[in-house]
Amino acid sequence: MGIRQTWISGMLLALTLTGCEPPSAQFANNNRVSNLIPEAQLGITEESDGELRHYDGVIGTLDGSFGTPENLIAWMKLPIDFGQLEGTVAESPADVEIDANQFYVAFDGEQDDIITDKQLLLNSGEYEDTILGITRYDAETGLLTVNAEFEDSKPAAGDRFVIVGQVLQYGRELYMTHCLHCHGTTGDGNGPTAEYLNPRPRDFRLGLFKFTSTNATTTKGARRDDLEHVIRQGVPGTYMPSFLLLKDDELHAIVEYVRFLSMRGQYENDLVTILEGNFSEDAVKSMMEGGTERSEIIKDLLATLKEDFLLDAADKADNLARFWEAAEDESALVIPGKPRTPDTPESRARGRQLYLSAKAKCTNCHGVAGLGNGPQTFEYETDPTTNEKRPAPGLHDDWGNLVKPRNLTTGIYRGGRRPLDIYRRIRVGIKGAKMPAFGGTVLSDDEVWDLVNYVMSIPYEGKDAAPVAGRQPAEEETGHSENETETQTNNPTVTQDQVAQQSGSGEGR
Amino acid sequence: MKKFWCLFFIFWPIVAIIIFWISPGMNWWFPGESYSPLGAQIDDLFYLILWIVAVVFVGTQIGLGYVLWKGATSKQDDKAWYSHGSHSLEVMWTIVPAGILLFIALYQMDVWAQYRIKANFPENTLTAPIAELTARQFEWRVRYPHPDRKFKSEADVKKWLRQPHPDDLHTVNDLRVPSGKPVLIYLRTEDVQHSFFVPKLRVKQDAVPGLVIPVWFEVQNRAGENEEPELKGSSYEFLCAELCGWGHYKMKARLVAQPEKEFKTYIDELQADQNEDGVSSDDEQE
Ligand SMILES: [Cu+2]
Repeated sequence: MGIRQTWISGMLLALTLTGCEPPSAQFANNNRVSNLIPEAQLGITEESDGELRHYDGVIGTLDGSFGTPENLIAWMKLPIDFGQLEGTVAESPADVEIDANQFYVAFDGEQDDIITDKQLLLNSGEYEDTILGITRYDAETGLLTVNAEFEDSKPAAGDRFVIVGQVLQYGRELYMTHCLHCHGTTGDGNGPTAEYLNPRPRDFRLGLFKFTSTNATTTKGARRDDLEHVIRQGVPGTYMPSFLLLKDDELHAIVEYVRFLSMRGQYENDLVTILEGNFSEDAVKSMMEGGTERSEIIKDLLATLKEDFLLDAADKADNLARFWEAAEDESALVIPGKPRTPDTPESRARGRQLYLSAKAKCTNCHGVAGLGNGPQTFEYETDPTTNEKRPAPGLHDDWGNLVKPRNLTTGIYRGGRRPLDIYRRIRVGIKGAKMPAFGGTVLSDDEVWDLVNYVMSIPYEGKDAAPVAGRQPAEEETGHSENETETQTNNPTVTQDQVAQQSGSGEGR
Repeated sequence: MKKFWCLFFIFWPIVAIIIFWISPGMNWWFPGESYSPLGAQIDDLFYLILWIVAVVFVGTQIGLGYVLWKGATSKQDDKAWYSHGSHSLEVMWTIVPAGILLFIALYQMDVWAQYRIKANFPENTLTAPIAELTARQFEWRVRYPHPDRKFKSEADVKKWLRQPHPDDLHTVNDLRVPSGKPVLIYLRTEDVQHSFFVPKLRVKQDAVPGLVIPVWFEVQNRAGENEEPELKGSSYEFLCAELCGWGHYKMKARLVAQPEKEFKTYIDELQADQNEDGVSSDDEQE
């Protein structure tokens, strides 16, 4: 009896203790990965000359380049600021005895990042190209403890080393605190709180971000500035709150980590694309129906994994790096060719003409009254992945979510409310969504500014804005104060027009 | 053994008193200095009540200790006896606490009225609001009237609150007010109940769906804690003090109180930024 009781309580204790350990974080795989046959996902192990060799499939290749959340890899091919600290091995004080896995270091500059658990690469001296894991660092004495023991000689004083990845690591920690519960560990927009949100949190894995300042013709990517702007200001009208109080280095680290997750997702898609044609479950099935042996296909896959897959993957990685570099390039930044057209009734009227015209086609989605209920929102779209009609009418974004064209009467602007922001929304479009980019050929700068003036006036149409006293009439060029004056002396035809159309559209506010 | 228990139960109140006594000096628990005049008055009330409670606590503990000690040292042959209670004692310990409560209730009315009753608000604050502060899950959105906008009456302000205006200035999680004079904001919420809480100013007000609540406060014209160096120590943390959802903890923002001139400069900068067209001004900021 006594023994049994001890045994049970021992078990209970064990259970309690195991329950306390935090589960290790994992990157989840894209659904597309599971469309591949298991061998293409996991790779193939081949025996030749009595030796076993493993050739990675999609998952192994991806993890080999990006690592896991707890062991991130800084793949230097990618244009990410992983963080880099350089330093020199220092002389040991004569009177101090240290262990075989310790030596002294001095960093080149000021160093206050946490470097425990990071990896150190020696790049000169006897141990050149050796990678060591840092287990402890004493900032006061400069004593470094690593995960390897040096039997005979230690790295000599003067040897150079570099530590990579502390910014990425910091970004991950901050991401875990602030972003993970919506955007998910993998950045798939599927964190624990995500299912309660509408619109859904951004899934970073397509490499697409909606509110950018880059012209859509040369790149579909986003700039660091764009991501920073969204994190600082939030996205009004959605659940993305403002993180204004983050310090600059915190913000930078988060942005780099988000870009990292984004690139990981894109690369994952790329790798699947390479193998999907021949080695998806469906493809293999149809080949077998055509009389091909499965072993033949596996043989073929092995040959691919040995060479072509690696070459294609390297190509894809180059493209990926170029995709993000192109967005950072100055030439990608959209800056209006001329200053904003003064916000006059004439400009707004021209803007309204354009808004209604077949050239800009705004009404197709946003509706005549700007309520976001244009005819397109009643159409059934075709899902590009399945080629079938979507179950619900309306516009869908590249993530497959139903999105509403913006209701322009609310005065809520997700991508920012400055004239420049609205200009860019029209000029650049909303990437990944149905708002097209009206590049230089469709609309001229003047036309875009007229449209901006009109769109910014929509929320105030027909409303009696309280007058502002004490303003100098000569105060020109500040668009907002002019707005105000015009709203009262508003072009009456436009206003009545608007009211008539609204009642005609049969939808209340 | 009896005496041991007696001393044991006397020991802990003494420890408690010593800890509470030294705690202000050690910077434990106490709210610290208030940076607003009304906050100082609220603190006075707090300390008054603390003193009353302290006296009652010490008195009760001494009484308790005395009874215990008397029981422990009494002779064995003292028998327990039955009591019907004491009418005069009952009356006393009912009337005295009631009197104390009544005193507190009357004594705090003045501060309460200053803070909450519109008629007692500092002059002209109601018609010169600094901003409209809208809480929403999970951030604070700020809307300033155009600096030239003058409100003629409260009705005029209400009209402004009812609908956005093209010349309004908007920010998020960053509320700026001039320091050294009473300022008023209108507080509202876009969704659920939130609460506007500035610990260092002792300002706390619920934001209730459907209501627009005026809140006034004054930030002393002096340096607060240096939370952000570039703001020269005029920055105060404010947060949501009403559990409002899973992202409640994200509702931390910044209140910056600067002298009138710097506040004006800020509003001008904000206006320039809000009219940014990417061309007219050279330094294009985010
Ligand atoms: Cu809240």
